Amino acid sequence: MFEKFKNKVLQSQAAEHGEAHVLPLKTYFAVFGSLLVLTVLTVLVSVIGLPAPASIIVAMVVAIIKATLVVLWFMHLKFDDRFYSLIFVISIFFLVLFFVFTSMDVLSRGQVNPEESFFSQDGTLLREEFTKKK
Amino acid sequence: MSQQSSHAATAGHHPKYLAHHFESMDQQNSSGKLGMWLFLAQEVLFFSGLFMAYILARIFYPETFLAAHELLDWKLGALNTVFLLTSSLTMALAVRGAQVNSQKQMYWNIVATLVLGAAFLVVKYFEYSHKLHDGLLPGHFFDAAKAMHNGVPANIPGAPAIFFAIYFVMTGTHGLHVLIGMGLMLWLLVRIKRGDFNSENHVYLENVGLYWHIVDLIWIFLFPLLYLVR
Amino acid sequence: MESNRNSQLQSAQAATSGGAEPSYLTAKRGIWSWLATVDHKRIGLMYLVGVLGFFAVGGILALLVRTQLLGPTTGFSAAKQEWLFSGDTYNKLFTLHGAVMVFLVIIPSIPASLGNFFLPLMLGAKDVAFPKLNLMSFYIYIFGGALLLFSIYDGAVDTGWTFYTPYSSSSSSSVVSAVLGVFILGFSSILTGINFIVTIHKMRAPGQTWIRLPLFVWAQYATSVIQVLATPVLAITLMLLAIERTIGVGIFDPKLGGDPVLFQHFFWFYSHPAVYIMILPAFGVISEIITVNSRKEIFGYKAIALSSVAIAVIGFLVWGHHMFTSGQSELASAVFSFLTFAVAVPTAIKVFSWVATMYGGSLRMNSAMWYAQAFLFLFTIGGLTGLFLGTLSVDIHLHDTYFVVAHFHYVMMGGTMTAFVGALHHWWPKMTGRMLNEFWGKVSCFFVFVGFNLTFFSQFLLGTKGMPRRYANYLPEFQNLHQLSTYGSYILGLGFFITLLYMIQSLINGKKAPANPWEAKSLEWETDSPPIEHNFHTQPIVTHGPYDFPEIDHSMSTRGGH
Repeated sequence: MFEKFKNKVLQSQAAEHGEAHVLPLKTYFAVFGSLLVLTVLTVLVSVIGLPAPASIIVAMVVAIIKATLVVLWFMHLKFDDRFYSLIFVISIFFLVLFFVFTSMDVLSRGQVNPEESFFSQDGTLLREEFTKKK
Repeated sequence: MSQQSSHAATAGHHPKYLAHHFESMDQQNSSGKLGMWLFLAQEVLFFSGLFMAYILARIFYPETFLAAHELLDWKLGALNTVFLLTSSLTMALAVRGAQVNSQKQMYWNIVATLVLGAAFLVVKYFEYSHKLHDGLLPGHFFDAAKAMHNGVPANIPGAPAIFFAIYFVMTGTHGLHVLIGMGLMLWLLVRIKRGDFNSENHVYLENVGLYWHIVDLIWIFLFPLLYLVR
Repeated sequence: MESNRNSQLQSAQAATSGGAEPSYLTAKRGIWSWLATVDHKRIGLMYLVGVLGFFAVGGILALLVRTQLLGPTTGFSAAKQEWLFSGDTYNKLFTLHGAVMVFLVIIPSIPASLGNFFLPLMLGAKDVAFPKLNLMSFYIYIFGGALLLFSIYDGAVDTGWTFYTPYSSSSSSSVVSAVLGVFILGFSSILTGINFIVTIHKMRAPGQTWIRLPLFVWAQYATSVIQVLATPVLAITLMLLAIERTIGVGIFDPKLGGDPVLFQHFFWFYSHPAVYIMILPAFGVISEIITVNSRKEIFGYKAIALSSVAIAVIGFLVWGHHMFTSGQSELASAVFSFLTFAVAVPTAIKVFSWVATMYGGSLRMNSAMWYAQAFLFLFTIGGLTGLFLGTLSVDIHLHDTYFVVAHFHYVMMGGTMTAFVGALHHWWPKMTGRMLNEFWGKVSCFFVFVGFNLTFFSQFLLGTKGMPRRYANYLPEFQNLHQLSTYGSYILGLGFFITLLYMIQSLINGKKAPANPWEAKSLEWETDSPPIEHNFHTQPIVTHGPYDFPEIDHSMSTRGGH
């Protein structure tokens, strides 16, 4: 598995040595067009009032698609040395790790001592002083 | 002497823009790009802290986020999104201009990117000054009374001061990065005018481009998370 | 012609008689040629001076802290119940000691000084990938250090180097200038990391494949990866802390609706990998010293190389073991405790490999090797006691006691600093062109070893008996062990002071060093001592591994005399 990746990296590096990979103008405009469409979609989904948690999942999925378009085409990752992709993926991996582990802690408080939990039995927030309507 | 002879020995192509510690343009260019991607990895992790703070604040105070985000103007946020996405396009076109050795394309696309970046900041300026006017400020400075007085429905449950703190810190840090990007672009314009870049040597321009795209990327996530909460 | 380079070489040659190219030390003269240098060797030396200077500052602070702990409560004034320093002052002393040692000494120690100096040499390159960025990293380091020390003038921080909230978000001490200093220092670390990764990828000599790299390079690579990925999280944490203090965000401070444990998550996400930034280069150094002075191919090259990468990765998964008693959820604590055991495995692989390398080797017991042996002993104790602390149930009792203090001093000081000093002995001839006095080298190693164990082993005992850390005074029953620890620290200080003396002596009139006094096989030894400005006279081409020693003839007997 490591060998295959290494070969891909070497191939992409060799490709870089030659003529720079110049993309046709219409590719750029196609990506841009898609980005605009996806932005409109994001706004629409919010305006029509999809309920949580669906709204946030849709919003994030759309954002991830937009980000992928920018990264692959505008930032040229699709055509460059595969190693750059590895670096980018690794940074995302550690970002996710940070989110997951920290959230795991915060969301699992109160299993042994209920008073440590942020949420009461029915899921409402226990922090009275901040949830009371002012 | 020996350093000299080893350089002369390699087929004479030693342009003035090749640094002395590199053997070839290929090595110089790929080193520059690799360094930039590593820097971007670092930027991703930098912003991760802010997104983590957002996630947790939203877990703790969901109704605050729901109510408070209404006080943000999603239309301005959407406009800013369009500005940044377009600026990403023009930046990518500038890099393409370098690849096809066109000084004009490089120059005018960077100018366009700069203008769009400035437009972004102008919109943010208006947003911030409205918030200031209405007392919708972060932390200690949040003034619900002032907001109500201005007709803004600021009787938000939970901890609105935290929402606005997150809003200002996230968009402020992002805005600072936009400003830095604009500074880099101004310097780019100087270098383009100097004739520093051509199809063989433009990794500096590419790297500023990569930086700018990351700034755009972050806004792609900021916009729905702050302005379009449901 | 390439006129600049031409005239530089010519003027350099004109400066010396005989036409031999001058060393990097004398090639260009004048203070400006140092301050504006882009030569990685000069930058490495400047970092070395900085690190050693800050080490002296941190060391003096440590001696003050230990002196405070000679007496429990009564002393000068029974009525005031204070001996030597007030509680407030004591808090500031240990905070500054920690911050200076962690950020200004240990983290940059090996990478910034020796890494900068030797990475290009070991790779057969002329310089690092980004020489100007390298110089900028140095000035950022100096500026950040100055800001951190300025915070003393600004009232001095008393929160402990860990800046825990809510105290740090509400304390009246100069937290903002201190965290600003550390924030800036972080950039130095990140930029150095980027520079090293690109250098290792792109500037290797022809024939130098990844498995022909010295293990010091593998160690630096793993360290640099951690620097790039972890340090920005520290940066954002400190930025958020400073903002929390000034405008009251409400993310960390419970009074404002935040969660103080969050700060600890943010902080330790960086600071645990940071300890691997501290130790991995030390591991690299020990690999070099032991294999060269055993005159034997290192045992388990691939295991040592890959375990460095494994430590870098696993090191990111265990930060919660600093937070077992903080209010973290039980599930998270259990997960982190389990993962913490995993990180011990690649570390142990290295220790076994080093010992196996020495077995059957032809040992040269110079002072560098003495320090390497001291490392093996001290680091093993430190590492094993880490397992005690990683065990969730045991840590409930040991957390925030002197057991923790002893553990991290064993690994950070007994580990990294011992390796650092050993590395200085190993590479001194190459860097300065002089030899160090071997006799005094061993004497100082002896004092350091004895002093260290007296100082810190007693702290393990103090910890298990319940002595809490960061306390300015204590119950009388702890006094004997505290006094033993303090006297040990004076011996330890003496040991390092002796080292300073013979290093200065060597610079003044030490014996001239040959190019390869230890008969080593890696590239840095194939050039002059000290090297010329461009490192190598001709581009080296690598045809063998870095530890390609001839087979040792075990049939030679030492019986019967010679």
